This record gives sequence, structure tokens and C-alpha cells, in this order.
Amino acid sequence: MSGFSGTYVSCKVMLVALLSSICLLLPVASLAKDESMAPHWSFEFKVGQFESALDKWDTYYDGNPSLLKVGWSYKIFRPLDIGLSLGRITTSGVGNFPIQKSVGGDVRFTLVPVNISLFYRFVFHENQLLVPYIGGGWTRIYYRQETEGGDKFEGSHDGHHVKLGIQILLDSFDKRSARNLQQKVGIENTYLFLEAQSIEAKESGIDLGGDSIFLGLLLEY
Amino acid sequence: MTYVGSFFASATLMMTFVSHCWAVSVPGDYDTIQAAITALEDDSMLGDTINVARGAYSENLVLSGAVTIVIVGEETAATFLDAGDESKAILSISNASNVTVRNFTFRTGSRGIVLTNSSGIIIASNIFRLGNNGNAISSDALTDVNIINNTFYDNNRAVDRGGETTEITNNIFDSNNVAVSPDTLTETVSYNCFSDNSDARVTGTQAVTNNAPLFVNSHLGDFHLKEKSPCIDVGNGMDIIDRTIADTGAYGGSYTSFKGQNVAARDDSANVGTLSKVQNVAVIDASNEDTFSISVTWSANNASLSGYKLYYDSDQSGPPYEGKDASVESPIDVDSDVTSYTISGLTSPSIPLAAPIISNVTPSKSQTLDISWGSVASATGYRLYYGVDDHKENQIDVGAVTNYSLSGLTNGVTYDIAVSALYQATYYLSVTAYDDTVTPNHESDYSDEKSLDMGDESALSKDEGTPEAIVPFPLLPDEGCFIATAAFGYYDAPQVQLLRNFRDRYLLSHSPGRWFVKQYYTYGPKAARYIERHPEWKSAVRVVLLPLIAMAWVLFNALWLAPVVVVSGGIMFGALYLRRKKRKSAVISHAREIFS
Repeated sequence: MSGFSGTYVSCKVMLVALLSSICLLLPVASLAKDESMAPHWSFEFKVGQFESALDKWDTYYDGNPSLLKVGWSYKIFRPLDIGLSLGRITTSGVGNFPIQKSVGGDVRFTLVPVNISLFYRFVFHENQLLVPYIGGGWTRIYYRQETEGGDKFEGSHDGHHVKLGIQILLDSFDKRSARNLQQKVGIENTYLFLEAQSIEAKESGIDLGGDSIFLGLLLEY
Repeated sequence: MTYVGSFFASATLMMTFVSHCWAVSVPGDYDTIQAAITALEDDSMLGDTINVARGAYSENLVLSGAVTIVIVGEETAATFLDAGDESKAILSISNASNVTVRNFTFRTGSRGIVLTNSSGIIIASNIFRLGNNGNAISSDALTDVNIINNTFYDNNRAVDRGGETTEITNNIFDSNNVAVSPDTLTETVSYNCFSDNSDARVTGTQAVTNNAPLFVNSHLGDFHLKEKSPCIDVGNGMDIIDRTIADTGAYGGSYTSFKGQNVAARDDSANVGTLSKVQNVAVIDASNEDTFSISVTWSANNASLSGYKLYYDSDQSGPPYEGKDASVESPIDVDSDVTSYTISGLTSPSIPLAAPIISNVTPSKSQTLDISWGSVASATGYRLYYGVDDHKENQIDVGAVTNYSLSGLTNGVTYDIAVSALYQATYYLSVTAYDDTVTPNHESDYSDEKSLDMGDESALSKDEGTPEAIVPFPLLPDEGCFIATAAFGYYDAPQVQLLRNFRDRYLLSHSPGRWFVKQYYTYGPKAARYIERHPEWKSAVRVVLLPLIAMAWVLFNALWLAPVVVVSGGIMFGALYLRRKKRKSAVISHAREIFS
């Protein structure tokens, strides 16, 4: 598996999709909101699948594990966000017996990626239906390996990440609910989003990163 | 007045009715069973049931002309009827109707129950063991009696009847001289078990014959049936205990006192002796040559006793220990002044066994080897040997399995492994003390059981294996920072994490740094242990580490500060240097002025 080659392919596909949907970025004038009401914070929850950058991952672990993430971001100005996100990947597999040169025993592998991101959202109007975004930043992946015999290996790798995605404004589909959310809870916008992300966290030749595809919900307030 | 009179009349009627449902107890209401019978015969208002508590009763009961009386023992196994005068019957019933006698053990006496000219008689769930001179039940041709679910053991004649009006169903006849007589009457005998009677005479229909009933321990008077008894579920009707087809004998059918507990019917209630259980039974030697022998010892029982009985059996734990394969059958009588015995001539079958072939010895987790081998025909189990220098250092009998997970080993050490197949019999041993100077004989409880496996072992199949720790993929370090962890108290302290990252990022990236880390991992743990034992040093170590932590923080969190710090430091040092140089120049100038 090549993490970055896969990422580039994903990026190309996403870029084509983004460009072709530029026409949808135009605001709907009749739904325009007051710019002064633009939100400053956002919270997101996303689930996805993680494909490790490690070559022999499939030998030791069972397929691509799922990845859960939550994140918060602050809008430095309307299109530019700085955010923090926290994820968790847990999978089970087998380990090595180096003397016997065999594979066996139970191993539990947990990764906790922490991202600090700066990302740009191509948002030109508060009622824009589709909002592409692109970003990247610093990553630290904490790891924990636990073996059946009780051994535990913990540590972290530092690295970086890039991500791009597209958000769909749900408010347009149910204006009454959107208005209620805005009035009663203070949530200005609700987006459903699809995101591709690639992390590289390589130390001593071992890259704990990988590629992920997420589906998530984002709330701006 | 009319209402009051009606009330009293009703109350009297009700009391009459209730009194008919009442029962009298022995002992309690009456001291003897005969006294209770006489009272009920005289006054029907007392009720119709005599409940007899557990215990031994020596009487010659006579019941004549009574209508509807039930005489019931509390528990068959523990309610004993003996003849007060052995020349007379324990119970004589004549000219009576609707009499039920159940849940007793009839012991000593020449005759158990004698029936004359009576009808509606039921004799159920009793044990008759009167000995070679005792006749259990005799009935004449005029008597209508139903003999159901009784156990007849070791009697002269079990049932001697005068006519076809005697129905005999669901009984067990074992070790009697004559079971059912006369042989001219063949009807109304059905669903009975016959075994080891000198002359069964009549076995009737639906009979189980010539199969031992498998009593739990007939020697000690326990006539419950063992699980594989041929007399289970072969009777007529239903068991009230398990709602299945009735078992034969005193503990089956619908009249039994058996509540499901396998209580031993011992004669202790006869109060004939109190021999205590034999203690410290041990196997001191066992020979595994052509014929096997087992040497057993036990502690002397200080009570007055006639001797000991040594019981053994193979492949059957618990009483009745019916071993027969030694030169002497179980139980073996041992003199009272002897506390050891060697059971010789045990002949467990010997079968040539092939060595099992070890197919796999692999580590499965840390300190563990998984070993598997092929099964061997006729093997009853397998023995696993293992050791570092010699496989015979340790051995485990693993049972009848073909794989075993051997744990508790040392990782990285190669072990010699061997497996053999076993063909073994397990011998179970128990000892009792007995006293035959009293009648009936008394015998103590069984001692705690000892067991021993004996038999053949095949040749060994050998292999070797090395247990290992599981190394996870990918190979990642467990990042520890011993001294800092000791100084800051816990592994996840932010300062410790900072230093850990500094090590990984900046020290391990070049050879001098790796050399430093290696030295640190060599000596660091000792220093950390010292700090743990001397917490007063923690503060000092923290102060020492502080500049390093600050530097690491700058490197990781504010790298832009580094040049500022460097430039500031350079400027500061430059300023100091210039200031010092200026002062030095001033001092030199001043000196020149003085000396010029």
C-alpha cells in the first residue's frame, strides 16, 4: 500500500469534483443572510475508514479499521479556520515470533491522531449550498500496542496532514428546522460533509499515518 | 337456639371430618407402634394414619379387624422394624381391610409380614433383609394384597403367597433363597427385577432377570440404585420423584420416601456402635510391573473394633468399590492390629501403544508453547514431558487430549519436549473400620478416598521449542524516560512527554545522541530507582532538568524563539565581553597612569 500515491489520486478526484461543482457555489440571493451573523466556531463529528500507510498492515491486522473523530475550529476570518481534531483507531491482529519466524499471538493496536489544522473554505456567502475546503497542518499520532502476554508499547510520532472535502449546507433543505436551531440553540449552519485526509507521521522509517475518507456533520455557531 | 344448635352440629361434623384426616405419631402420641395401632382400632376418631419417625423399633405388631389404617415410616432407609420376639412375625395382619404399610426396613426376625384373610392390603416401598432364616411376606389364599416397589435382599423366602390375589409389581429380588413362591401361581407377577436368587421360582412378565441391580452399597444397607442400574425405568407406572417410568425397588414408584437425596441406609440409628472414620489413608508404593500392586497405609482407629475393610475399585469413584481384579476381591478384610496392606495381583490390561507423533511446537503467546500431537489408538491419556536440559525435568498428565498449551516458560530458552501415550486404569481406595461383635455388624463411614493411576506408557516422541514474547507490528519503541518519570511522579507528565519527544526527535537522529540514549538506558533505571527511594532528591532533579525541558519546549512549541534566544544570548555575551574588555582597558589605563 502506498499512502501518498493513494492520497494524490484521491486529491485529483476531489479536485475535479470541486471544479465541476463551482457553478453550485453561487449564492442563492433570496436566502441571503446578514453577513454580521456569520458564525465564529464550528464543531464536527465524523466517521470514516483508515487505510494505513504501512506496507504489511494486511499481514498483521484485519482490514481497514474505522476511525472516529471529533474536532473544533475557530474562524480567524470567515473562510479561514484553525482547528483541533482528535480521533481514535483501534484494531486487533497478530504479532511476530522472531526466533520462530512465525506470525501469531494476539495484538491490540490503538492509534490516536491529534491534528492541528489550518484550512480554507471556499465560502462566499452564508447560504452557499456547496462549500469546498482544503487544509493541512501538524499531526501527532499517539500509539499503544498491547500483546496477549501483557507487554505494552506506547509512544507517539509527529507528522503532518493534508485534507480536502466538500460541505453541503443542510439548512436549505429544511429551513424551519434550521431556523429553530438558530433561534433556540444558536447553531447558525449545519453541514454534511465528505472529506479525504492523508497523514504522514514517519519516524525511524515507520509511518503511522495513512489515508482516510470521512463522512461527518459540522455545526457552525 | 335453633341457629346455635345448628352451629354446634356443624362444628361437630367438621371436627369429625377433620379428625379423620389427622394422624398419630410414634414416638410422640404413642411410645410404640403397637400402642398406636391399638388406639386407632379402638377409636376411629383418632384418624387413620400412623407416622413412625426414623429409628429402630423392636416389636411384634398385630393388626386385626382394622379398617383403613396407613402405617408409614419417615424414611425407608432409616426406619427399622425388628421382631421383639424372633419366633413371631414383625407384623401380623388378619381380618383387616384397606391397610397400607410402607417406608420401613424390616430387619431381624424369622417372619416379616404375615397376612391372613385380609383385603385391600398395600405393602409398598419397604426393604426386607431378614437374613437366610427370614421369610419376608407370607399371605394366604384369602388375602388380597398388592406388593409394590419393595426391595427383598438376603431373605430365605421373599414372597410366599397363597393365591393369585397377591399382586407383585416393581419389586427387586436380590440374593434371596427363594424369590416368589409357589411356582404354581404365575399370574399377577410383573415388572420385577430378579438377580442372584438361589431360586427365583416365578419371575412373571416384563421381568428383568440375571442383571445385578447395582445398589449403591448393599453391604452397608444402601439400596438406592446407581445410575446404570438395569432396574431403573423398567417398572409399571410412574416415579413421583422424576415423573419418568417407575424404577423398581424401594426407592421408585409412587410410595417412596426418597426425596432425591442419595442417603445411605446405614444401621447407625440402631445405635450399635460409633466407629469413627479411618484417617490418613495413603498410597505409599505402587508397582507397575507385569501385575500391579498398591501398598496402602492408614492411621489406627483406637476404638474397639474387629478389623478394617480395604475397599478398591477401578474406574469407578465412590462406593460401593466393587473391585475384583486383584487376587482378593473388594472389600479386603484386614486385622485390627494392622494398618497397612498391599493389594497385589491387580491386572489392568496391557496394550502395546505407539508413540504419539508431535506435529507442532510453536509459541502462541509470551512464555507459552502450543504443542499438538497425533492421537494414538487405545490411549486413555497422554503425558507431556519438558525441560531445558532434559525433557524429564517436568511432566504433566494432560488427559485424553491431543494438544496442550504449556505456559510459564522462559522466553528465549529452548525446551526439550516429549509426549507419550498412556493406557491407564484409575484405582480408587477407601478404608473402613468394622465391629462384628454386635448384631447387626457396625461399620464406620468410608475414609476419604485415594486414587491412583496405573498402567502402560508408550515410547516418547520428542521435539523442541522456544517460547518468545510477541513482537507487535510495526516494531515501535516503548518510550520511557526513567529519571524524569521518577522526578515528576508519573509517566504521562507533560514534562516527561516533552523530554521523550526531544529524545526521539533530536537525540536519536545522530550517532552521538544515540550513544547518549544508550548510556541513559543503561544507567538511567538505577538512578530512577534511587530517586524513587529518596524522594527528597526529586525537587533537585526537577531543577536540573528544567533548562533541558525549557529548551525542548522551545524546540517543539516555539521554534521561532530559538534564533531569538541565540541572537539574544550572543548579544548578551558580546555585551558582557565588551564590557569586561572595556573595564580591563580602563584598569590598564589607570595602572599606566599610576606607574607613569
